[in-house]
Amino acid sequence: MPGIVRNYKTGSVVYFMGDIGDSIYILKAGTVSLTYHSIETGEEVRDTIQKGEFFGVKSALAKRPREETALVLKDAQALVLSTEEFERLISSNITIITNFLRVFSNQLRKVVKLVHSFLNHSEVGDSQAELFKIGEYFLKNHKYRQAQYVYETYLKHYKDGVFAAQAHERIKAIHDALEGKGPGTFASMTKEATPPQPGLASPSKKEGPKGAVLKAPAEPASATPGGAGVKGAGDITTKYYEAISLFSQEKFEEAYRLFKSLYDSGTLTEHSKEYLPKIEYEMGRCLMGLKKHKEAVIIFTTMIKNFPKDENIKDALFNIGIVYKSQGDKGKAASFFNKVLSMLPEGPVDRKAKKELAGLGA
Amino acid sequence: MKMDGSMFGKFGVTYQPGDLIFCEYEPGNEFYLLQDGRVKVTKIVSDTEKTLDIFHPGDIFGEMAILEDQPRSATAIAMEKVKALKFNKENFNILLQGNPQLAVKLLKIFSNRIYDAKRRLLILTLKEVEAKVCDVFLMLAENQGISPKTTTPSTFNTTNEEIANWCGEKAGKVKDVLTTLSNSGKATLYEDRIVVKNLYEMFRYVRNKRKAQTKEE
Repeated sequence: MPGIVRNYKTGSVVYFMGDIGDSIYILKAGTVSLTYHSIETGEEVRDTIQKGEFFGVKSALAKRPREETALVLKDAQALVLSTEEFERLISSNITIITNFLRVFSNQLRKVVKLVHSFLNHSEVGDSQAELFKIGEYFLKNHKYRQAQYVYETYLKHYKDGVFAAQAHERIKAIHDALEGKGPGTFASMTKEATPPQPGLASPSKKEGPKGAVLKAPAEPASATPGGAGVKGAGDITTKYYEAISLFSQEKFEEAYRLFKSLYDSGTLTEHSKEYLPKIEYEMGRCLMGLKKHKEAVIIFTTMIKNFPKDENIKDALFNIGIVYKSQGDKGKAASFFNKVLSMLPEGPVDRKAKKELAGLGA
Repeated sequence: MKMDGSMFGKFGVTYQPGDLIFCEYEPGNEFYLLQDGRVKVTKIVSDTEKTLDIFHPGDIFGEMAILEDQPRSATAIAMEKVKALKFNKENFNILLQGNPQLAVKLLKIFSNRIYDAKRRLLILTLKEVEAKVCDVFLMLAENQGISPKTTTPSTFNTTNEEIANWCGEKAGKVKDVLTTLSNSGKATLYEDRIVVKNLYEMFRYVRNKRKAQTKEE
């Protein structure tokens, strides 16, 4: 047998949690315990290793830190193998391998299940709709063969699915396009890559009047161009985020232009009205960055007037104070900083305002 | 890794360049042992195809399918002419008998996957979205070999959607957190990457959150 035999005294530690090591151990005599944190509860758990059992395998194979501390409870003897020696050893023993595979796959299954239990409420979507969307992605990018595979896969698994009729249409169109019958119908189809709207009659009558069938399309409708209202909301979120990102890169001019275009576009629907105070506030910050002080104060004031209850109110007041300070108007600056401090709820901006006041010598 | 002809006769599949071997969200419970040609694994994130991995002859892919009844989490595409052996839970033992090295390989894959899944679980057990987002950065740093004690700017090739996916949160919520981080100067957001100013600060923040949570429980 390869490897070396090592003796351990009671109370000694074979390895600590967090250690990195490529040794794998087989207990030959004595008692060793493994202490680790349960992934479910975070509590400390202690297992005892039986004679003939392996330990330290997973961390050594994955080349990751040890997840447990191996403590010797009673004078012990272990066979210590390097990862290579371990691999050679088990390669000749299909029973050990199968056992390890079973243990590891069970562990993995358990962890993955736990992960999914956390995701269930939010992330895991409707696989049927998601699969169809993958086809739409390939189609849109003119990867026809790939799109065809996805639509065919869709039909294989969801013969009577919500998107079945559309999948059939797409496949036919791809055939036509690939055979050079002109991309005319095809181009228009990619643009309309929209799932049937709930409540509207879908071309596929096979589905019957099941309620569940009508429910599904609601989800993808927000991801593909759906109703105008939804589209507007998606658009503004993206653009707003883009503008914020530009601002963080200190591209104030571009950020301002983008915020302004959102502000002026009049596309702020019921859905996206919540963005209005944010946009006004951010425009003010951009103007400050551009050193357009007067305009910055105007837009902050507008925002304060229009949305006196907005969460950014105190920051807006603070920023006006900063503008006055930069213009040397200490008195006005101080009054704005004081205004910030007089308002509830207290936030990080209070500390900044106090600091500014102290700096003003007020 | 050589296979005799009878093995290929029973389990062999061939693909042309560009063929999909399986696609994201496709139900399926086979895994593949690549014999010839390379295979690219991609995922569609924010409407662009992102390459996660490239497999070479001798590699195993699609192995998660034998564990769970979840649909595929990524798309596998043949990059050139590909030959592979296709297995499922039932005929898996036949494969092992003749190829113990493969089993060792699979053991290594599973070991790594367990670590990865546990790390993700750590993120998910945090209560607040802010903490989750910060912990995603810390995990990405670990994967890139960046120390969590780094106090100089660190760049991560990731996006809002990807982070949302790691956190198991809606993209909009994560966007709000990133916006706040950006506004307070803690991160700079680019289209294809995010620069974190001070990773150590995030590390301490997440550590405190985690401590506070264990106390509550």
